[in-house]
Parts: sequence; structure tokens; C-alpha cells
Amino acid sequence: MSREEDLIRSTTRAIASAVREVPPLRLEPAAEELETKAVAPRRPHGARPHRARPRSARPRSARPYSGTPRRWWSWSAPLTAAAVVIALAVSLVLVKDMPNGGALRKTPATATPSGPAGTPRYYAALKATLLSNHDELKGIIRYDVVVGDAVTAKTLATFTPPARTTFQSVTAAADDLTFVVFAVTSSTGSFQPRMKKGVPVANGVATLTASWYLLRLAPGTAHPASLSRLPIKPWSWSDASSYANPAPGQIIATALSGSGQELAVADIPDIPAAKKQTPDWHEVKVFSVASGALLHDWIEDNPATRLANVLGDTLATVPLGTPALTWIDNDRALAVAMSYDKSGTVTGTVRRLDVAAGRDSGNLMTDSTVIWSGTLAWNQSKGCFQVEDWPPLVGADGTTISCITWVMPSASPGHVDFDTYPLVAGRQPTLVYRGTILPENQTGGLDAGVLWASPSGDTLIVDWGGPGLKAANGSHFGVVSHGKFTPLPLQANRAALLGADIAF
Amino acid sequence: MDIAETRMSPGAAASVTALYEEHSLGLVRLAVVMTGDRAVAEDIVQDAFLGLYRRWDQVSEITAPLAYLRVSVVNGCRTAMRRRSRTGLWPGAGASGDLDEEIAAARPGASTGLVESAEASVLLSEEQRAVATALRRLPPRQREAVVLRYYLDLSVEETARTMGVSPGTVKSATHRALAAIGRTLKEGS
Repeated sequence: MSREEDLIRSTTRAIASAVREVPPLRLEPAAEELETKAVAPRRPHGARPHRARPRSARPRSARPYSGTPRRWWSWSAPLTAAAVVIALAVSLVLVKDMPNGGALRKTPATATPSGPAGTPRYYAALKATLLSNHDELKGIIRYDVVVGDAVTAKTLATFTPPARTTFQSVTAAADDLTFVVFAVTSSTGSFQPRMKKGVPVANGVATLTASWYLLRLAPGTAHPASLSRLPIKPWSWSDASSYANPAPGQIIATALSGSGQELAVADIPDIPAAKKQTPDWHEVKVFSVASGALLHDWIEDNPATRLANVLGDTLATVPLGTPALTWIDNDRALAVAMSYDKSGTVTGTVRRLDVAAGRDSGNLMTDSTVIWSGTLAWNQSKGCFQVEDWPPLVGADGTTISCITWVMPSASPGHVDFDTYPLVAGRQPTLVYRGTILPENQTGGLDAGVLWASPSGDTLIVDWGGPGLKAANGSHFGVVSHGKFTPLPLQANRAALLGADIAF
Repeated sequence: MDIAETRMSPGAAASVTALYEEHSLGLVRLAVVMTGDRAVAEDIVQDAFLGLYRRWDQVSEITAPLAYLRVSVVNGCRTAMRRRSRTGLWPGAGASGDLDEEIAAARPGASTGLVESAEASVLLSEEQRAVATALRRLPPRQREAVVLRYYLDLSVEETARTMGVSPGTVKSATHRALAAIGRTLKEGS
């Protein structure tokens, strides 16, 4: 036994020994906990709050939340109440199950974003809906879609999913008015399979079916938002999927092109050859948003790649966000981010998959080229190239990734940096903005993330804050660009809207 | 105790309560070591048992309830810490520079609020306090690996199953954590 091992044993056991009693078990949650659940909900089993990215970059904290540390969220109840009031004041729309939806966009999205510094103004976010305790016991969950204006902080509309369905992720086009919402329907209505020795039992596993909805905004009109189901032929997979044993058909990522005309979907291919060594297989499909037609289909069988984060405890049964796909180069290509863990050494790769080149052999590896590849760091010391940051937030020009880094020395002012790192050799990283954190605000941790990046990564929509940071001087949401921070008034909805997925 | 024997709904509360009485102290201690915050640790353990209770009628059989609950608690700790700090923004930690430099720059024994909350009530030597501080500064996965390996004395394989990663990842994370703690101790001596 080394000296360090011995010291760790003695230290941890000394710390643990200070706990000599525990409070009694409370099996019925208090009312305030139920309030909190609307903010920090449970996700289907193992669903990891993985990063959505590019246009719909998920805050890094947006992870499936399986616990409710009340102290952390104690301030969230009034915010939730405020959000509810706002939501009641706007339209609440129940989405009917419309097989083919209404009329779909036939023309490219061409409007110009009207937020600060050319950033998107409107967002679509998932918001957990408070269900009854009985429903929760049965593994039923529901996420609504909230559409809002980040400049005015007004909510434009709230959409409720059809029966047995939850909205699961959102992705945005570049026009600030067009989004696609990914939804999953459970055959049983439950999103928690019955388990036996940690393994789902066959007769307790639901079949999950994917669907996508086009969300179009018309701010200032009588109907500021409309939702219609895309005519993409749905497919299903087993709810027993896990990171180690994904189910054929399991969807990993969804990304809407900047034009709003094409939808890219990454999944585990449901083909006979993929029944064995399923984790080695990946597929990227591109659909027409207007017709639902399958335009492209690439498949790979590679034991040295994974589209999900290597730290994922499980591959989300119902995936969150768009972690691995980004439309780049004016929709000519997709950036596909992969990673692979070999004995603790994690390799990250970003590949360019040309969609418009006409090279369409169907092989994901041969039709794509490597933009960046390297070993990812474990110790949070090398900018954006981190194990926990992967898949990264790739800019739409395909040459940068953006992230946060920080220093919290506790005894002196610290800072949170919003950085953009090049994916091409010879370019230097850019410090987009540095937020200072005073020592007195460093207790209680910090919650921060990059929510959206401009094509070149020089302008970001970010948030940072935390319980130790007073709203007046420590909780921030807004646009950062060239060293300047422009606040946006999303504070009232911040906790509710940044807890799951948000796309700008 | 075999949950399957008592999984009927009318007995769910009694069964889970019995499990709580048997294992809660150890699990709270584990969560305290992981998070450094007793109140958060108690909440995490409560949630783990509440989750078990809520799913009682869906759980056909669990023959190793402690392992099941331990995974729940480790996941809860990880989630709580991510909630507190999406990227591990713990007071006293840093990442814009080299972590080793940050650790080296840190004053061993200079307790932060979080460290204080867990360790203030026990007498630790200067060396142990330095180890406690260094543990707080480790990336979450490295901290999980060393706590499970050396506090609970789990094997590499058991640790891997609890963390949901490969044994190789556990070995790598443990090696890196020991190296970082060793450097901290060296700087502080």
C-alpha cells in the first residue's frame, strides 16, 4: 500500500466517522419537493443529460437529474411558480397526434436573427411538467416545449406532447424562427423499464417510437407558434438500451440544418448485421423536412468509435439533445463527434461528413474525413479538449469548439472563461469573455454553460450563476462577444428552462 | 435481505425502511466523503431510498440491494455535484490553467466552505486535511474512483460496476488521482 493510499483511507474514514446518525426516512415527498421536481426532474433510467450542442447547445448541467438536493434548489420554487404564471398567460397548446401534421415549410429559412450582436432572439426549451405521484411511480414523465423571447423574457407558447409521449430534445435552424422537436412515445406510457439485478426484464420493457415536430414561430401574430408533425417514417427501439448494449434503432442525436430544410439523425442502425457487436455500429441519416424522405444514409461498423460520451453510464434510453451532430459549412457537411475509451485513454475525433459532395457510398467512415483527432484530457487543464466536454460544441463553420474554463481559488477573485478553441492547426484559442467571481461568491459552487455559439465561435450565449452567487451580481444569462457581456432578461425562467434542453 | 421476498406493495414501506435502517448510515457516510456536504449527502441518500420505494412494484428482484443503492448514491453524488458545478467549479479548484499548478498553488489545509462543512467536525492532521482538500479538487471521476477503491475497499471490478465505466478507466482514474494527491502532499511538505 502506498503512502497516498494509506492517507486516503485514514482521511476518508475520519471524515465519515463524523456522521453517527441519520435522519429518519421520509417516503412521502414534501410539497416543496414536488415543486422542485418541475425544475429538476427525473429522467428515464440512466438518461444522462448530455450536451446538446451547436445551435442547441445544452448547458453542461443539463443532465438527467436523479436526485433533489433541496438546498441547492431551495430558491427554485418561487421561480417555478413565476414560470407557471407566465405560462398560463400565454397559449397552452395540446399537441394532437397528427400523423402528417400541417403544411410544412417549402422554402429555406432565411430570416435574420434579431438578438443582441446578431444572436438568436427566440428559443425553444424543454420544461418538465409536474405529474402526479402516481404517474411518477409508474415511470411516466412529460416534458413540454416552451417557446420564448430571450430579449423580452416573454413566453410565446407552451406545447404539451400527445399521450404516452414526452418531448425529448430541441434543435434550431439559423433563421431564429424554425425548430425541430424530437419526441418519444412509449408503448406502455412508462419510460422506466422493470429491472432485475440491474438488467431490464423482457416483459417490463416498453417499445419506444421516435417522432419529430416542426416548430415554426411567427412573433407578433395571433398565432406566434405552431407545431406540426414531420412526415418522417417513425421507427422504434427497445427501452432496454444502454451505453454498453444499445438497442438497434436507438436514436443518439438530432440536428436541424441551418436552412431548416434537412434533419440529420444519428442512431444505432436496425439492420441484421448490427445485432452482434451493436455498440460498434452507428448510422447517420438525413431527411427532408418538407417531405420526410430519406435523402442520405451512412452506416459504419467500427469498434473504435462511439457517438456517445465515454463517461455515459448508460446510453440514454430516451436521448437528450443533439450531442454528436452539427451542421457546418453552410449545410454542406455534418460534423460528427466521436470518442473512444481504451483503458482510460480517451480519443476524441471530429469528422466532416460531406452531405453535398455527392460522395455517398453509404459508409460513414470512408465518406468522411477527420477534422480533428487527439487524446482528450481528464484533468480539465487543456481547454475544451476534455473527456467530460465531449462531444463538443462545434461552431457552424466547423473550425472551432467552445466551452468554459474556470479558476476558483476561494481566497482571491476567480473567474469563469468562455473560450473558443480552433479545430485547425495554427490558430490560437480565443477568450470570448471572462467573468470575475469574487471570493465571497465562490461558496456553493457555480453553474455555468455555453448555450449557443456563432459559426466562428466569437459570440456565445452563456449563463453562469449558482446559489452562492446573488442574482444582482452573480447570476448571469446573456450574450458574450469580444470581451463584452450583454445581459438578457431570462432570469425568471432560468432555472426551469436551462434544466433540460434549450435551442436558440 | 432479499427485497424480492417483501416486494408486495403493502409491505414496501416497511421493507424499504428496514433497508434504510440497515444501510443508510454507511451510505450517508459515503456521500459525505464524496460531496463534502452532509446535508446534501443526506438528501442524496433519502432520494436513493425514495427512488427504490417508488419503483418497488416495478422491481421484480434485487438480490444485492446494497450494491443497487450504492450505485444510486454514487449517481446522486455525481449529479448533485454537477448541479452545483457543471464543470466541477468547486471553490478552491481551477481549470483554466494546469490543474497540477492549481493544486500546487493551493494551500494545503486552507479549508473552503465546502471542505469545512464536512471536515470541520472531525480532527484531522495537517496531512489528512491536505488530502481532504486534494480530494475535493479532483475531477469527479477520479474522486469517485479513489473513494470507492480506498474508502470502501471495493475491487477494481466492483468500482467499475458502481461507476458504470470500464476497469481500465478505473485504473487510469485512480492512478491519476494518486499522482495528483501525491504532488499536493509533496508541495505542502
